[in-house]
Amino acid sequence: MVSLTVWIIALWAVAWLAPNSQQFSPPIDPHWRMWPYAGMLRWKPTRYWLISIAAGLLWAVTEIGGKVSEFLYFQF
Amino acid sequence: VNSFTSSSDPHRRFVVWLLALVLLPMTGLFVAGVYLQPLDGDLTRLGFFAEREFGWNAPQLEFPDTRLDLPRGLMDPGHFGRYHDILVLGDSFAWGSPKMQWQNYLIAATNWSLATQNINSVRLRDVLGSPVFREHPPRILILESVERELVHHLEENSLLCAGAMPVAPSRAGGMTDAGARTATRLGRDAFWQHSASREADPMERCQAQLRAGLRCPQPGAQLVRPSPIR
Repeated sequence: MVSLTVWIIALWAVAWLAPNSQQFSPPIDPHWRMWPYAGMLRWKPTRYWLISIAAGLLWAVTEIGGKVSEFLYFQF
Repeated sequence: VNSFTSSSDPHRRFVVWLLALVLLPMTGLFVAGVYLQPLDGDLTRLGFFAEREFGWNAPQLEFPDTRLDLPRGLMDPGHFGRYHDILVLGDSFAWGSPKMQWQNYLIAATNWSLATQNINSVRLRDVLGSPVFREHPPRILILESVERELVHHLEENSLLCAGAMPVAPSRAGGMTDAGARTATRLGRDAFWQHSASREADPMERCQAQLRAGLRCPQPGAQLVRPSPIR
């Protein structure tokens, strides 16, 4: 329950405080940009972003399929 | 796509490095997964052993004309309505694969009659208290449980000794040296048998298995190679 609460608060902070996708992504059309953002979370083709995205992508792919379960009765 | 995002060397290098960092480890993991084979059985799931070494890669004996009357599912108690020489009260290892059950070997070796009941839906005290058991008790009562459920089944059936304390299940890392040596030796033996029998005639393989210690199988037993992935 505590873990769930921490998760909810952390994700709530991300939703309200972190830049949105239009802000941290590079400008596709500068005239269309409505909320300019120049903070440290703005995406750039740097090694820090590379390592972060690669680590996240690896974690996401390796989590596909879930954990191996010891529960075998689903096969009957 | 416009001049802001296309034909940018930093962006191109970023994508190339990203693919290299992600695809290379993923390829390695995929190749290792194919080599080690997908986990399937209890030993490999719980014991952290490789399916390649401890899974069903060797031919198995099957009894196509099995006479076993087994529970058909988790909630099916099974049938025990008349005298049988042997009564088995067990989990899915006692009724999960009718044609490959260990009871087939028991019947073939003894020619005794056998009934099997499901320990997940029948309690031992109900079996012992049933009229057929009290009036016509079997010669042998076998209580079978997978080791990881043993304490649970003992508790459920009031068989846990007073003062006994369940212990945490051991893992491969906690094995004794002797246990580790035995596991390794068995793994090599299993792989050796698999490799040696791969090209042999099915009957020869069957006979080799019989010579290896299987007693008096019932006529008509066949060797099959079930897929490790069900």
